[in-house]
Amino acid sequence: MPQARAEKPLSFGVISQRSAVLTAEYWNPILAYLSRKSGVPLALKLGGSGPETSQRVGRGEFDVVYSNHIFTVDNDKVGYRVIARPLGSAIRGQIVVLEDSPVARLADLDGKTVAFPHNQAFVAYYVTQDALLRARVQVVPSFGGNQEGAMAQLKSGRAPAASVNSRIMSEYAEREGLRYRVLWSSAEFLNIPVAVHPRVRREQAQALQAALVGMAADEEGARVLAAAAALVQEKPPYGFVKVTDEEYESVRHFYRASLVRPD
Amino acid sequence: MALRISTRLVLVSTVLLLVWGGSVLYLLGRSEVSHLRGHLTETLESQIRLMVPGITEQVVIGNYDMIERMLAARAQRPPVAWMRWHDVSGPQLLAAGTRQAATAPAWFVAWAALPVFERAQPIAVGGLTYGEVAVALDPAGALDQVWQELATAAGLLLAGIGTLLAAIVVVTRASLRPLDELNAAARRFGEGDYAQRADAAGAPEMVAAAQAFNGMAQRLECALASLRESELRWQFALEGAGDGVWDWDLRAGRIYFSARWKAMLGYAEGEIGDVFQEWQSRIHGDDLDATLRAMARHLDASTEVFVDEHRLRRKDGGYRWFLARGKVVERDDEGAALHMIGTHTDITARRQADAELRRHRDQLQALVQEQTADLRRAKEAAEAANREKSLFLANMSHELRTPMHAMLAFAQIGRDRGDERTSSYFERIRTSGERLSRLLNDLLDLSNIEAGRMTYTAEEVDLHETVTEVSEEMRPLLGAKRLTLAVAPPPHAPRVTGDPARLAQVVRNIVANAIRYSPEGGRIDVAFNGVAHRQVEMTIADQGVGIPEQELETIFDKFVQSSATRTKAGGTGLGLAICREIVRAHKGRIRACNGPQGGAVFHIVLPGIETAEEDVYEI
Repeated sequence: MPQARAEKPLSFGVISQRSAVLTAEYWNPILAYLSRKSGVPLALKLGGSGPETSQRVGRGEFDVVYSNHIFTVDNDKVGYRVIARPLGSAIRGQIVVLEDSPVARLADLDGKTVAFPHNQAFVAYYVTQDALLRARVQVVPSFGGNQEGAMAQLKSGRAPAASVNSRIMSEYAEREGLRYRVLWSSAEFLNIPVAVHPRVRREQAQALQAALVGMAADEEGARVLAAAAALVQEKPPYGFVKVTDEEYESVRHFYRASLVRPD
Repeated sequence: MALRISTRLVLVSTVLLLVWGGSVLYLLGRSEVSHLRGHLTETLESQIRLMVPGITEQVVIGNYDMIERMLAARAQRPPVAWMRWHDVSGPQLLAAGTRQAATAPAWFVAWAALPVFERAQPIAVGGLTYGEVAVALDPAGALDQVWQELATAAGLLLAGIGTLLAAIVVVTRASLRPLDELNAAARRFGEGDYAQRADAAGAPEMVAAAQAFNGMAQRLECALASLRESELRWQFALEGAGDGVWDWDLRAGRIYFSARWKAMLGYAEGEIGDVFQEWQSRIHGDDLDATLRAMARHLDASTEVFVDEHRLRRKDGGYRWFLARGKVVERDDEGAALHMIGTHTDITARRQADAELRRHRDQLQALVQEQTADLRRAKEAAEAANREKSLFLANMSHELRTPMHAMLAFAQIGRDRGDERTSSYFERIRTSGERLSRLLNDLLDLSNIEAGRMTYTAEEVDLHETVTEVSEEMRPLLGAKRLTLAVAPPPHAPRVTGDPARLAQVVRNIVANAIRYSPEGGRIDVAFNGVAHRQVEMTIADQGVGIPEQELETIFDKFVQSSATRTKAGGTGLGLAICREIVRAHKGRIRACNGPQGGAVFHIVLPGIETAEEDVYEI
């Protein structure tokens, strides 16, 4: 709806890591740049919540998607193909508490409330919940809607611990001045990829991939990336690199082996 | 129509309080409306501020159902008129607010002039404009609330004003009650209750007014009592005098006749009306014109008082004389008479007495005229007889003097030629003849004077020389009695204009009398004195027996001699009478008196001749 171009834009879905507004503030300039550069019009589409976004991914509603929910057992059938991922360190799933929290071990969380973004988050739910289940620690989940929603519960004290994306958490803590302690951390996973739906034409996918990969090197693209990163206190390097589906095989594998089952 | 003070105070207070209350309400209304305007502006901003994050969130995720629900939910909150989302792609969502029935009147809404408050806020995230959210606030509801508050305030204000007015009415009535009582007292006083007094109570001003009224009433009561007494005395006097009173109101054309006035004409009360015609129709026809003219002259202020005597017809048909006196006591600005009062006095008796007096006077006048005619005739007869006498005397004197001269001449001859005895006879004849001759001369002179035939020359005469000459003539007589005639030398010549012979006759006569009545060896003094107005006075004084006081004037009458000298021989009793006539003919005067040392003194005063030295005469 926001776009009013003659050519129907491609819908660009984004995983719910932050609030919708902050997500839009982050992505809209990037999408505008990509549209101009690639010639492929893009329109940001957000779900009302993480699960809804994940479900829409599963229904293949988005032409382009920034999400790792495409690797779940069910969503993998849609056939999204990764074309790029953000530069920078890999991500981890973490269970964090406030720095002065008395909780010292995962076992200390048994029977306690732990804040999660939502039950579709990869590193912040599947990975951490799997670890808790394996450690036989039964917690009471409290869903915050997105990554920062769960972090807000921790900050406010409503939950003694939070299950988070390590990269989002560090950015949030720096932005909000929150001092926290990592109680448990997962292995590293590649950052969330940008993927295209099979109905997207190849030249459009290639144009988008080229624009993404070349964005950091482009003066305008770098400025847009820097501005977006500044919004969420994202650390450099900025920009995207080309990836392949094979590089995310570990993620697909985790979904298949996880003790966590989708509701 | 004049309003009572309390009513005026209440009206003025009501107007002032209503104006004040209206002003308060107006200012309160303005303040409330201004406050409402600010409140609505803030509310508008607040609505936008509250709406934008939620709308933005939903717009970003494209949840238009949620947006519509949000708009609808917020639109239900007054004073929101409507809320609208206008998507940049064209479609819009509109949620209308609930509009309650307005309770504020249309004029109040128009007076408040509050528009619909609108505010639109574009929604852009990350440089991408999604659309515009707009909010409109309807001030009607808030205006209703303001109207209700103002109505409540107006009600309270009116209640307060009503209470205040009631208090004003109570206080005013209480304050003015002494004034009402004073007014009632004044009305009763005006109706004749002169003992009425006001109660001096209440506010100091009322006490002062009551005291002033009481003082005035006291003085008026005294004055009215005096007036009543005066009126009673006046009525008593009029009734005692028998006068009838009338009081004429010319404006109303009414005239009041007193009972006495009607009774004088034989009428009882009620038998005569109260118009001027009642009076006029009873005036005697011969008097009517004069009476009406006199009345008209007074009515037009030509006379100070109306006074007229006329006859009025009584009830029995007879006429009586009346004296009418009246005066206009009130005139208008142009001088026209408005009110006249007067009396009628029955003067019939006086008029009859006057007529009687006139009749007696006429008779007396006729008698006097008749007697005057008789006297005139007697006088004329006497004058004719006197003239005949004078003529007779003149003729007789003349006829007697001629033979008398012959007799004297022959007596002189006989005395000188006869023997001693014969000579003595002739001497007696001569002496008697001389006396008779003088008597004849005097008679002749007197008759000439009385007959108007005496003539005088007008020459300059020096009286000193005249006296000197007479003195020389009298020397033998003076020597015979060893008398001294002393003539005091005058400082200036005593000159007069006259007949020298007649003036010498006067001097001679008086000196002769002095010689005749002076004792032997005596002295006769002649002196001249200047008197005022250029006159010459000559004084001849002797040392004789003098003249009795009661005879000082009569001795100048004809044939009169002083009783003191009558026994002495010689006088004819005509000399001084002739002297007076001669002096009078010279416009002079002669008088006699007695000297301080005795003796007679004769003063002769004659007009002098102007000289350069005249001013030195002593006065």
